[in-house]
Amino acid sequence: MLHRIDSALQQADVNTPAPPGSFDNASIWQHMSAALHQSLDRVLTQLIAVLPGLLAFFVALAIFSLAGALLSWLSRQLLGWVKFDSRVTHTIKSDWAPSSSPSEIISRVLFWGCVLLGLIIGVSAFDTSYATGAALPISLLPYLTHAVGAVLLLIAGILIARFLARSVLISAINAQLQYARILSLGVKWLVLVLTAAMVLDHLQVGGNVVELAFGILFGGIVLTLALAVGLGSRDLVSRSLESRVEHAGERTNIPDDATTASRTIRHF
Amino acid sequence: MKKIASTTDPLWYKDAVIYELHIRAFADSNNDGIGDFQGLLTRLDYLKELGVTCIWILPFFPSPLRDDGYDIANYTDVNPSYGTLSDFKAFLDAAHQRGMQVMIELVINHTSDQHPWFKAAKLAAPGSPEREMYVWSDTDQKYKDARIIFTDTEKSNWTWDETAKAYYWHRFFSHQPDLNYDNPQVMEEVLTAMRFWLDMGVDALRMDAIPYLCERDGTTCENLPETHVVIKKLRAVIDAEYANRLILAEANQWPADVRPYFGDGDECHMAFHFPLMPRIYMALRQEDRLPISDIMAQTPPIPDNCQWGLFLRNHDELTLEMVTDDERDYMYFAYSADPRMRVNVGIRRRLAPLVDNNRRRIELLNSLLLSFPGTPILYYGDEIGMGDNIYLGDRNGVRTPMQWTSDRNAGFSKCDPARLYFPVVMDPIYGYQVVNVEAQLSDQSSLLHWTRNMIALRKLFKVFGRGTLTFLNPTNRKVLAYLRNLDLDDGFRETVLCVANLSRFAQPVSLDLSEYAGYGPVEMLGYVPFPAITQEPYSITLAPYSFLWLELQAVTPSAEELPLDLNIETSASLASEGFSAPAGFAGGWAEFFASAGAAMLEPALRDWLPKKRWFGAKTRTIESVRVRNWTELPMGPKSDGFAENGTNKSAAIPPALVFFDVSYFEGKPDVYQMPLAISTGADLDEITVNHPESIVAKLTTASGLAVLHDALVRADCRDELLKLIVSNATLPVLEIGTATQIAAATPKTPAIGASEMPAEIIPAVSPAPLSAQPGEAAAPPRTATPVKESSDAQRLQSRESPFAGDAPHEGNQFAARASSAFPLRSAQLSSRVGSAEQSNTSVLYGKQLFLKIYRRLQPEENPDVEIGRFLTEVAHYPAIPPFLGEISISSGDGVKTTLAILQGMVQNEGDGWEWFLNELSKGLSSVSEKPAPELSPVPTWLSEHKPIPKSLEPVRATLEAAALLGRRTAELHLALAKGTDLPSFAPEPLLKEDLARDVERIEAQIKSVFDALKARLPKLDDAVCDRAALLLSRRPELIQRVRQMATAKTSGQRIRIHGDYHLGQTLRVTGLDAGKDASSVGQSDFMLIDFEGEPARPIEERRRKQSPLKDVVGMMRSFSYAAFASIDRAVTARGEGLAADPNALADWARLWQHTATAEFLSSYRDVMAVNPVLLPPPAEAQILLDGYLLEKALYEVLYELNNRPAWVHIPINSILTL
Amino acid sequence: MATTSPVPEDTSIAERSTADLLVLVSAMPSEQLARALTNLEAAFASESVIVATPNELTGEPRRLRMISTQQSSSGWALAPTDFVNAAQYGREHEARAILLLGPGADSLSPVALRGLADAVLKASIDLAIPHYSLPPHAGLINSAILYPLTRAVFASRARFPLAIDLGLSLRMAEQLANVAQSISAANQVEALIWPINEAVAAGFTIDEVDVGTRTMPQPSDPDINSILSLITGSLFGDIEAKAALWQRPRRPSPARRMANDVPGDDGTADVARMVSAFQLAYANLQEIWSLVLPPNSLLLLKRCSVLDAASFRMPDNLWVRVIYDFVIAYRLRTINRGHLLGALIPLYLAWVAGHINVTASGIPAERHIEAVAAAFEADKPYLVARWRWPDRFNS
Repeated sequence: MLHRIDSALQQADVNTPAPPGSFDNASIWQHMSAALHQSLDRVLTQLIAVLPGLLAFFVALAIFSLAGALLSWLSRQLLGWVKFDSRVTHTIKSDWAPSSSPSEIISRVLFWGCVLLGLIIGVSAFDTSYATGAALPISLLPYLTHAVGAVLLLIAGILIARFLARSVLISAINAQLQYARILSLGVKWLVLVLTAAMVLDHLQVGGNVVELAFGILFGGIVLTLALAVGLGSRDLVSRSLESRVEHAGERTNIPDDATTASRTIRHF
Repeated sequence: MKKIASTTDPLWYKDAVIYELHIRAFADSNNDGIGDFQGLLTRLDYLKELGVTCIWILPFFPSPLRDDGYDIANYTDVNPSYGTLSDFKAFLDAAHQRGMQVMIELVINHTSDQHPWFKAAKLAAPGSPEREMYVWSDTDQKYKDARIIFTDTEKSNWTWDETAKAYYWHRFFSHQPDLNYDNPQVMEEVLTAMRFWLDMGVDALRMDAIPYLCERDGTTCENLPETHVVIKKLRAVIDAEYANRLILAEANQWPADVRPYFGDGDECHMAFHFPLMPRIYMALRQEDRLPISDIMAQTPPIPDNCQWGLFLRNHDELTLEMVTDDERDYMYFAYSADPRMRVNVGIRRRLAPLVDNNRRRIELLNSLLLSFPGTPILYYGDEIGMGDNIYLGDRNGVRTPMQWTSDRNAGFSKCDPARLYFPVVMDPIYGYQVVNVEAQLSDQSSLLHWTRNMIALRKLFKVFGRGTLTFLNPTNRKVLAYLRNLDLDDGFRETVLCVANLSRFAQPVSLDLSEYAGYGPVEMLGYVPFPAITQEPYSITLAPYSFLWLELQAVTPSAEELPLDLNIETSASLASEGFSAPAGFAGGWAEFFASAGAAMLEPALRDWLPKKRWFGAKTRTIESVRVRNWTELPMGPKSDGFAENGTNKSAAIPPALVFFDVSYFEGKPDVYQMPLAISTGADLDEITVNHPESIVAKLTTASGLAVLHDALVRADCRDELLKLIVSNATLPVLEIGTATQIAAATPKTPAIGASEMPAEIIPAVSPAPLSAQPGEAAAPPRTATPVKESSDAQRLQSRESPFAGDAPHEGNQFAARASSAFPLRSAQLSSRVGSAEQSNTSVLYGKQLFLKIYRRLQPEENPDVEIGRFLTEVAHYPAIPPFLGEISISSGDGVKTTLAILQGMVQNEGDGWEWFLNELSKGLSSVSEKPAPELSPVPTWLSEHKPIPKSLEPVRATLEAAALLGRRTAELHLALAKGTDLPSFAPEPLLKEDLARDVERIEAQIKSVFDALKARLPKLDDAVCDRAALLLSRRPELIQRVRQMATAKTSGQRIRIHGDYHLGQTLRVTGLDAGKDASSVGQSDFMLIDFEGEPARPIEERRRKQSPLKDVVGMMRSFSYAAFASIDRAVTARGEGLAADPNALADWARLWQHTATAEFLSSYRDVMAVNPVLLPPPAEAQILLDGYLLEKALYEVLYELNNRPAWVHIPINSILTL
Repeated sequence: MATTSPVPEDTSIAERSTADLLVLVSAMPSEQLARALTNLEAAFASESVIVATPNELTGEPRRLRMISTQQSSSGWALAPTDFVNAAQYGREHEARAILLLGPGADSLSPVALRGLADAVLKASIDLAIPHYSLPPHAGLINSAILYPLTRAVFASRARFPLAIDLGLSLRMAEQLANVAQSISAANQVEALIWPINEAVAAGFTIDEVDVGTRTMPQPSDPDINSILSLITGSLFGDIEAKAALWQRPRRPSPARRMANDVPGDDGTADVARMVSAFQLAYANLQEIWSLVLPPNSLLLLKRCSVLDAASFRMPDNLWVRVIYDFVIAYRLRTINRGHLLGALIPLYLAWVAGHINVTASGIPAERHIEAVAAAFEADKPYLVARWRWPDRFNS
């Protein structure tokens, strides 16, 4: 297939415009029709070259979608039969419960997983069938799938960053770390930067620069945190660490000695 | 496989909140423009959050959809455009998992003409089982009496079928042939379909068009007995094979006609209340509750396991079949300006457009829906106030897609808008850009949030779903008020009062809630306590279209009960200071008042005082209450209440007598006294349970909850007061700012001249034997050391200006003193607070002692104390309860204020007033049959004593008693005139100036009384009005008569008198030892009590010396009252029999009154003859008597006008007979 | 289950025999068990008593009849399985009263054991809750949150709502077992059962029994964060589940005489550390607190945050509002529930600091706790009002 395209290109090279001077009508028409023919020919050949890949893409997609539907149906039946939902809903804490039932999610994940698989296989089949060098708009197709993935990554990243930041903040406060806010901000930006890097990487934008920049930024954040802990709030940290140690010491004392127990605090 | 029910409560539908939705319209998951089960699945959490407990889905079966799915072509499948059977199952499971039940439609009256049964029937031979699935006829004249329901589209209930060559019967559209329930096979098929769904786990079935199942010629073909047989069969199958399922009947009939569909609880569980819906709208538009209360009155009771289904709007038109023609026209005019809004016999509009999108009206209607007896059914979209599209045909205007977001197609579907089954509403008011779930979720005050909160609130109270309904009928008909009541299994009673203002303006209403007197209403939405209910009408003001849900809580002494006080406390400290010192009471009252105590107590008292009977100025509004000073009672460490927790710090705060100024917005301020105590622990519980009315405020102290309350409810406080008197204690009076510590518990030596020894060593009074009669004990004060009268007098005198020299710098001094007549010393007597709370409070110690504690204090010695002491200690007058002690405060400048008086208790048969009334009413009823007596002349001072007429023989006892009273009165006056060497008691001549002053006063009174009478004239009864007018015309005559008084030449003497003398101030006693009078022991007698004078007058005036004739007048007036009051009593005692001739009775009463007065006067005159200078000569006496009588009667007119207009005729008549 | 079949074949006659009292003892070291059994023998000399223990039945023979149970899961509080066992054995042996003894029960005196049992046996009380005498600064979560909140919401004055020893009537045990079963069916491993709340819901009688001092077992995870989250979360959840019940007006149970404080040293607990923890949290947790607390409370917190450790006080009113607003936020899921309870910890520490300061100033701890509880009772309308109409604006 490649060979044929090559030869077509060679032909085009050979039939470059006639030398100036020969301006007879017939030849102009001839040239024009030849040029048209050639371009038509070229596009057609290209289409022909792409078509199997495209076909393969669609076939793969269709097959996997079907398989996915089948799988999801099967799983739903199976899970319904084993009463998966009622079992699961009790175990997960209620504030984590998703809006749809767990078996629904599983079957949906299965279905979309299959579709995605089909998409990937189709794209790769398409890719192999399609000359990578050709800069046709159709090549945006795989790129689009990347874009969707990137958006999903971004959303997930932001959600995780928010949640983690809050978790870290609260637990750091409760651990009485003076730099709790910095820590939580650091974690948040760490996750965000990581997400951004992953997204860019996923989009294949920037290539090495992204990795490099991420490395620098990440390192910078870690360094900043380290400095903050190490220098800026050194004695705060040491104090809080000390008090923690003391506190732990107190705690271990409690059961041993009744006299000290009355002097310390027991929350429960 | 048969699934078990999703709920365990067989009556689950009673507490349900049903949400009606159409699959097609709710949510579209596959973007084909038509909603489906998968879409609904994604929205289940929305419904759960909304609080819905049951989802009712409109028909989703395969159908040509010519009647929105009610034309079913296959009973046991799902319409492909809505999903598959497994989608439905998934939805069903998901709903159950969220605790929601599912109701589906069972349309068994008819099928689609596309149903295989009908197709087969058309082809089958007439009479064959296939053919007989439907109702066929060769003529369209059968069942002529059946009405046509869809009048807009159908001309007849019969339609000709070409294939079958026959007419088929259809109650609805012609494409919906009716099934033939006379064919048993139909029943079988229907049961199969029903089992199909119930096996799957469906919880409820709505039976469509249930009255029309069977047809019989010559009937309207509605509600036939045969139909009920069919329903009973269905129900029997359900009861036998399934548990906890529900049938809801759609029977668009009058309530009485719907009632049979409940059977004896063996047909349908629920039925829609169709007629209510249009009437709610009508009531709203007419601003009159009548349509609602009327239809509810027509609603029959239903079996216990049955329930009404209530709705404001549904997928059909607002049907007007169940209203009268007039009402229908009214509704058309009121709610469907555009004829396009009408369809069939109804109005096809949604809730919000029906009420002009007025949020308040929507809320009002929903509040009725949620609080009426029955299960509320919400129509999808109404929770966000969706609009409709009247340009869609049939009833489709209210079936447009649910509006979820402001995105394309309102978030209902992502398809091409043109593909939607109906366009979404897009107008500028109700369009999805404005009205959608997403927007309302983010708006905390949206209708959606409101609805959600209301549903949650309703679900907290079972009474809404299960309770009884009682309408209150306030006079303002724009207000609908009703009570819901439910006794729960655990003995708890839920009572909710709902009040709704149907008017677009604010409305006042007063509700008769006397049945719930004492209950405390709590507004349910915000848990706001409202003023407690009393016997009086309960007044509420309602904002336009507002409604109130009030939970009536039996007043339990709980923490919730007193939120008002507490809110003040907590919110104030939250807002301002925030740091309540947990040990605020450690320093006693001084610190308590100095810190926030006074600031807390004073407003609390302001709210508390007007509720007390003894509080005099009820008509005035208190401006402020300010603590003036107080005296702490020295409570011993071992007092009952604190025996267990002696370490308790609040015990360090002893009870105190607190004196405070009460100032009003108008008029002079008063000084009140109030014994206050702070109780915690066991005392607190005792008090909150038994004496909640005594609690002034609740406090949060370091030792937990404490109450600040009237100390008299605590026994130890009462005992302490007695102890103080017995030990003649003197205590300092403390003021804010003086951080004086509590005086030592040992009382100081009273500064009484005679006794200089400490009270501890020599008792101030010697104990008298317990067996001694109170009167006896009074005679010789001390057996050991007899005291001469002069020394007594000296003591009395020294007390008139008591502590001027003793404590010049301390200012006020609190002193308790026992009388020389005090019989016993601190014997442990059980004490209680007297039940008849008047303007004072009395404490009874055992059966011997009676302590009257004055509430309002006046800066003079109380005449009761003064006269009581004089009569007991100086004059030794026996016919009064002995004076035994007093508590008073004397200021530095010698003014003495009486706080309390201790008297001996007298065994009595009630007061003289009651006794006379009883005797008289008995006598009157016995004479009532006799002809009216001839009238005796009005007795005068001059009239001779005549024997008692025979006709009055039945009431001879009372007449003798009147004579006895005359004697006792005269003796009293003689005794009072004895104190010749006491300036405050010594008789003085009654001078011309005194009389002139009297005349002036009475003239002024005539003027004011006549003014008042004129003003009230229109409000009086006709009969009284007549007499009053006559009285008004006599004005010059009366003035003339009064002026005669000043002309009297000699007018006798002025002495201290009783001052407020009437029968109520006497006690009927047996066995009074009348001492010197030598009346035989054991005979009935009278004791005279309460020498306080008229409480409304200032003390100075009450202490003034006056003519003894004023007391005589008082008693004469009292006889007049007794005569007429006894008529009332006799009438009520005898019932209607007596009511025949009240005039005759009045004659009898008048005869008695005259005779009794004559008896009284003659014996009074006889005894008074001992001291002739006291009274003027008879002629002058008569003039004075008339003048005073007039004054007294005028006073009574004024009093009755203000208090008891029904009694005003008594004094008016008396004045007229003068 | 054995109860459903009339004659269980594998239980001997001796074991099936009835008993007045069934005692379930938690797993404990054998010497502790021995002590506990001795105490039991001393307490119940005349009654027929069956003791069920997960320990191995070895050692010297005793007068008490012993049966063995399976090990319950949790180490320091009563677990759902304990209640299930109690009901099951109680039914089997037709016990009139059941005594559930938590870990460390050997420190309960015979008098205390007797008292718990007598409340059920003699006074026909359904639930006998022990009243421990603890050192002043012990059981602070209980004093700060559990006791006042339970008292205000469920109108029960029991001082230790999460007591680890209980006297139960058979019907109370069955009620609790039902709850426990539904919990274990739902697989909520860490769930706690609130006997008082269940008793109030069922309308059973409750009484408190003074048991004196007792060594309390140490929670398996001594970290305050997890303890607080677990216990308060569980209580908040139970309050949510019983909303319709506790919003009825309810008569508070009569007050008990003031519990005697166990005199302890006026220990100088590390108030400064707790106050600084609070101040740190105030500086950092604003954004989270402001989601939960109304402006008024935030303002008061701000005032608190500037106090120094020695004069630090948490106003009772503020503390009440804080807890009530957290209960509401827990119900409404305003933020992730784990985060919510985490954000409560510094506030709790602030209360503890204030409490210690109050007691150090000479006011007995019990008195302060009673005042807190009274404030909770007094402000209950706020909870109900916000529960019913949770708009944020007027909060």
